[in-house]
Amino acid sequence: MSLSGLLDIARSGLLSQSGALGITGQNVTNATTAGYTKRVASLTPQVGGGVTFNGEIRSFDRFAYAHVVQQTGLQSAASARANALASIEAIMAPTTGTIGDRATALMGSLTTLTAYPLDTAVRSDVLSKVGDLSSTISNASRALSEASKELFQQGQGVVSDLNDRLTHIADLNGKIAEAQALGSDASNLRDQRDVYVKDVSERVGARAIEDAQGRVTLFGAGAVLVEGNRTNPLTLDLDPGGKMRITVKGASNIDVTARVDSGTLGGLREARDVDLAASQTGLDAYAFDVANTLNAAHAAGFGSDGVDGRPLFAVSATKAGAASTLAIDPGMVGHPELVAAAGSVAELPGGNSGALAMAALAESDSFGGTTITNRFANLASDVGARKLNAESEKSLRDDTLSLATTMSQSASGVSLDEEMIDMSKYQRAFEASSKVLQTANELLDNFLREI
Amino acid sequence: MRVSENMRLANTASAQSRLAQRLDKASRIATRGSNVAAPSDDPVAYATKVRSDNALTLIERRSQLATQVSGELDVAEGALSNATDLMSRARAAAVEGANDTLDAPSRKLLATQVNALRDEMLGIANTRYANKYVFAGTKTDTPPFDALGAFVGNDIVTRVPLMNGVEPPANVSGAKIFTNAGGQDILGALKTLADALNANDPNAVRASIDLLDASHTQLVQGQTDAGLASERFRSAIDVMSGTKVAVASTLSKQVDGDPMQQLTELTLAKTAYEQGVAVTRQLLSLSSLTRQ
Repeated sequence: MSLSGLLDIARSGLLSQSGALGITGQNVTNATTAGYTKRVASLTPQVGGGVTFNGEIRSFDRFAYAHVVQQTGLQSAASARANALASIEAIMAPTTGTIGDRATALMGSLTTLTAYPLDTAVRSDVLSKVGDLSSTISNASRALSEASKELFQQGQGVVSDLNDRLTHIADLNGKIAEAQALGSDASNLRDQRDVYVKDVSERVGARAIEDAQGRVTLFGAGAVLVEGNRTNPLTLDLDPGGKMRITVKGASNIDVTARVDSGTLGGLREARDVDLAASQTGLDAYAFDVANTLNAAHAAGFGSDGVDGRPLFAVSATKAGAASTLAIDPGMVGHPELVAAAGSVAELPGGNSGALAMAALAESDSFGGTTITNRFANLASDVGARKLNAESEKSLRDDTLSLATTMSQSASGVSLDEEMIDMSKYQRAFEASSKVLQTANELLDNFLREI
Repeated sequence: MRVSENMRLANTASAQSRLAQRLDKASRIATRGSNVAAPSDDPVAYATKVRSDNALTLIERRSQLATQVSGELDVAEGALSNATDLMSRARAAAVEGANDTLDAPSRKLLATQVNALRDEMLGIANTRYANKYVFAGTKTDTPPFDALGAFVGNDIVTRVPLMNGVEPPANVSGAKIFTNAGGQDILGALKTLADALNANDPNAVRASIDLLDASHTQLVQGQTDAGLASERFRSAIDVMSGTKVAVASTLSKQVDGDPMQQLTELTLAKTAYEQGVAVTRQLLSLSSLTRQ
């Protein structure tokens, strides 16, 4: 080998090691950057000596990443549902002043009425407790409706963000394919696109398949959301039954609602249209049964004016919507003397068998086959069990996502320890190449001096 | 397995988050002294809590009522005790008036005394307590006997719930105690005696003694009934007190938990959190770069 060849070898070494050092520096700088994939310097030996720096390679495990994308969708769904259920639970069973507490207070007041059927203060207290129970139930029902609206609005925000990301993915598909066709490095573009794919999965659950040109086809909600540079955005509205309806807009609109069970949107849909709907239905049934059972008992008794047949509550004719409209009967408002404490005209004015019949309901299975207390306990426990289930699911998904992320990071993440070693390695190699260059230069100097 | 910087940070954050959650839960439980505040803490225990709270509230309410009703019955019993005394005094007047040696003015004087006793008896029959005429049946807002002694109340028994399905009488019948509905017209018997004394008729006076004896028996019977009814409520208060303790104890075991255990868990959670913070600090300071 000639001395000039040695100089070329030293030159290639200096260029390659400085290129590799640049990649190490890039890795170190992006060690904690979200979505960044570790780069590895591609160095190959030259025929006849020397080394060639071929640029950078993404250290990427597509299977591990696909697992992260999938688990992100499931974890987001569980998280969204658990958060929504926390609100539903707070509405149905606040730490103080629950519907059950109000019902117990009313039954207690009716019990007192048995001993003091003529006492206006006691009669007024009964009406006050009827009002409390009614307003607590109707307020809870309205709060559930508000929560339902809020979840729908959240869903609309999620869909808007999602469609925005679909556009970015389609745009990046085009850029990556173009860069790949030109032989340029598209690593940064891929990193960006991976972040968007994960974002989409976080919102609706997704799966991405890359073609030979570097473009991904993105599947989500049981439909193709992105294909090449074309997007099929989602829309969210309400169906005639008031439930979320999710549609993929493509050549034709496809209703994919039933297939949206992952991502934040899936979690919100389940929380709103399954969990919250069950609570609302349960509350309606509770309000309907409680009001009608107590109304029937009250109607059988007689007010101080000797008139029977009066209801205590104003309640709708059907269970649907019974909770939100529940109120004390307008005819009873401000008229404690009309409380039907007496069981017959004969026992007026101080008879209490009407009050006795109503008070006896406290422990009777007259409220849908169980007691008024059990009825509320079942309602609250159902919400509690749903929230507990959602939290367990979230905990499980947290763990599986963490594991998937760990596996993916193990392949793609930046280890500062490794980078430090690489930095030292390339630094030493650079120094060695410099030494070779210096040695070759000295040899050439000596040779030239000898001439 | 390679360990990346993001892995270390994510795992550290995750571990610290779990420790913070544990500390938060332990502190909430220790602060409120109960393992169950919301249904999701334990749906089954929450249902038990709702049922037990309801049971305790009803027991408390019924105990208060039982105490008040027992008080009313005690008032009735006390009034009837006074009535039997009055009747004994009337009988003594009758025995004295039946003596053939007694002259007419003396019988007139006795008649005045008996009329006074009758007025007192009328007052007793119209005893009022806590805004209720206790011998009026369900017409508790008006005196059951008018000025002439005619009964204008009714004979309806009111009942007050003590336990599920147990609704003992909460009043005594003025009709059965003071009127012919019970066999003897108490005020009528006193009037008969007074009339006989006024008429200076020893035979009629003697005849009224049997009526007075029967009336006395009727009043004693009423007094006994009132006492028994009151006692029934007092016994129920004792039973409910025991039930309340049992329900509260069960509730405490199932819902409140063991305070020592809660404090121990709080201490453990706090220690774990502090250790976690220390470990996190060390982990974050570890780096090949910083060791250079």
